[in-house]
Amino acid sequence: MTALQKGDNFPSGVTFDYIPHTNDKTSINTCGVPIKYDASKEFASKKIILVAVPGAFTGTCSEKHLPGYITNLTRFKEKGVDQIAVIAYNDAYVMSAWGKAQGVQNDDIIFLSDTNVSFSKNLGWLKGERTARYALIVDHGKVVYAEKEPAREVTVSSADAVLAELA
Amino acid sequence: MADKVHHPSSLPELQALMSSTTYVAVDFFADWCPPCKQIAPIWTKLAEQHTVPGQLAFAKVNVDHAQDVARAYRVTAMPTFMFFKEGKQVAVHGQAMIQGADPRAIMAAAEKLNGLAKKRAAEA
Repeated sequence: MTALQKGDNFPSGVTFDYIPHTNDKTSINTCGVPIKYDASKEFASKKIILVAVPGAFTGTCSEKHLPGYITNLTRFKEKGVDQIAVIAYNDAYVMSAWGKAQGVQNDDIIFLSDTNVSFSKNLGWLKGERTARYALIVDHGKVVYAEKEPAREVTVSSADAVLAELA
Repeated sequence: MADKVHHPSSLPELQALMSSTTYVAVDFFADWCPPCKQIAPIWTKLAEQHTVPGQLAFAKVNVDHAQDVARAYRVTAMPTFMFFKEGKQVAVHGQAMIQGADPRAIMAAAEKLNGLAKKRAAEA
């Protein structure tokens, strides 16, 4: 059980569950089906921000943490970020609904479930039985930033903090 | 009266249908998905109206029961409608697949396929 540090390679064999975004028109309904997201494979060829939050739809996560990433998306893209992956303890259905509730309408920000919290558990970054609050910058398989919140506030894992790390 | 919709429960079954019929239109659904239930009677009716033996068949695939099929076609939202000609996915009216219970798009696709199927039947 080792936390990731700047300079580490992103571990292999990491997968999450998620429901990919579909183009729902307001008069059309679709039911999503979770599929596996091979993070190790995807992260090897992209510049990704991985943000972990304790819970979808919860107060701080919905009001103080995630919105920073949504509003700053353009700035992230300007710094070469391909995608932002948000993970939490919730299942893929809840994560998908949270993304829709937050108004995310494409794949720039994806909502993944840390199934059985296995990834966060391997890092040792849990909050009770939930995922803790942390952020990683993974650039083509290399961990460039890995910080876990020391307390309840959103500081080192906030969008602003992560943006500052992206040269 | 048996409905004309095929219910392949495995990839080999679906592939057999695709080998025997030029055009196959597939409805990927799940029992627990309300929009799928909404569209089901429409699919049955389209099968009644537009099936052309050997040329156009309508099928429904239950993604929970026929998981190999759902995985092979990477179905991630239900209902998803896909269209195949000689076993290969094709676009009808510019759409290779329709995601969601969109009656008008589905009916338009079925009619277009029926027209193509009838032409081939006449030429055969």
